[in-house]
Amino acid sequence: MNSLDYINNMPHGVIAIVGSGKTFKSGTLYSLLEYCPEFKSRRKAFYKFPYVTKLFPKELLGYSVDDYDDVEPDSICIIEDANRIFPSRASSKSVDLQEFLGLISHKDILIMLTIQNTSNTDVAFFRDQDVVMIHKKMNMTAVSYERDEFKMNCERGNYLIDQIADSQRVPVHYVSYLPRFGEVLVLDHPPSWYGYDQSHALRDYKIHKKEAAE
Amino acid sequence: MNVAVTPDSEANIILSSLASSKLRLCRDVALAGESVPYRQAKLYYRMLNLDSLPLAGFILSSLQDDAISIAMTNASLLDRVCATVDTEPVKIIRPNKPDPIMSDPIIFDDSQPIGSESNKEP
Repeated sequence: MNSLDYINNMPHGVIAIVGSGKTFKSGTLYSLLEYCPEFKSRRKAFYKFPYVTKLFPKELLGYSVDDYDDVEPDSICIIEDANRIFPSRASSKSVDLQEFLGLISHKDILIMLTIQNTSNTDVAFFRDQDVVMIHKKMNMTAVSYERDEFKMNCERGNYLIDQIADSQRVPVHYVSYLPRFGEVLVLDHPPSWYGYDQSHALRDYKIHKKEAAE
Repeated sequence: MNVAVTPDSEANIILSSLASSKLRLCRDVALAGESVPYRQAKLYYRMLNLDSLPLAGFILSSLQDDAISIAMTNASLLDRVCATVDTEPVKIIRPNKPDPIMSDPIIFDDSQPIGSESNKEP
């Protein structure tokens, strides 16, 4: 079973797409929704994400949620730029995320994250459930601040993505490295509806300064 | 005011990784080059034009294996190991895309770029 078949058949777990800004993390996430046939019939819960109905076709079966309890069983829960909502050590202040992650295997919820750097992201995502890491390109300085557990894979990902994009004659954005499977995935047909509006969906997002100050 | 300073060793590793990722070195140069016995044996057999003999090949191969295994246990050389790892052990998966979710193209109310070529700054 290759990586894409495995992901396609994941009833629950965590798929984390890691890479520096503008490396096609979101594009890869939405491409997977189309490359994986089993995902088509599952509803997509967009966690704290604006304009879901405006940005995505209704056939994607997307809906907005602001609370863990609103994520319906069998859904795919999409969390864009997870570190903005779940920064590192957040689960030490509240057990809600850990509680949610403990329940996803009961509710058959698959979580798909985009992350710019795991060191800024709550480590709870990587501890409890079946986790598939998907590496995109990452700049060298960012790699030096990565968690030790992922640093080598980020380095290797950078190297392999360049090599294989060149040999396959595709842009580096379409190439991802999945260290768990020893595979490089080339998804060179993103959804036809994916464009600037979707890749910059948080353009008007307001930072919750009060919450940050607390 | 606190100023975060990148330690020298860390900066060295970054620079070293950056440099080695640009170089395509053969394994002999990147890893076995520090082994004096291997270098001497290679020079000796080549000078005497014996390096094509099976016995010489066996000895050189053994010395090269030793040199590489010693190099790979040295953490400071691991970035150079990365520079020599080829892409062969990695499997490339380039699937055909199944039928898209949409049978018809979407018509949005507001104008915007559509499709894979649209991922550019406006």
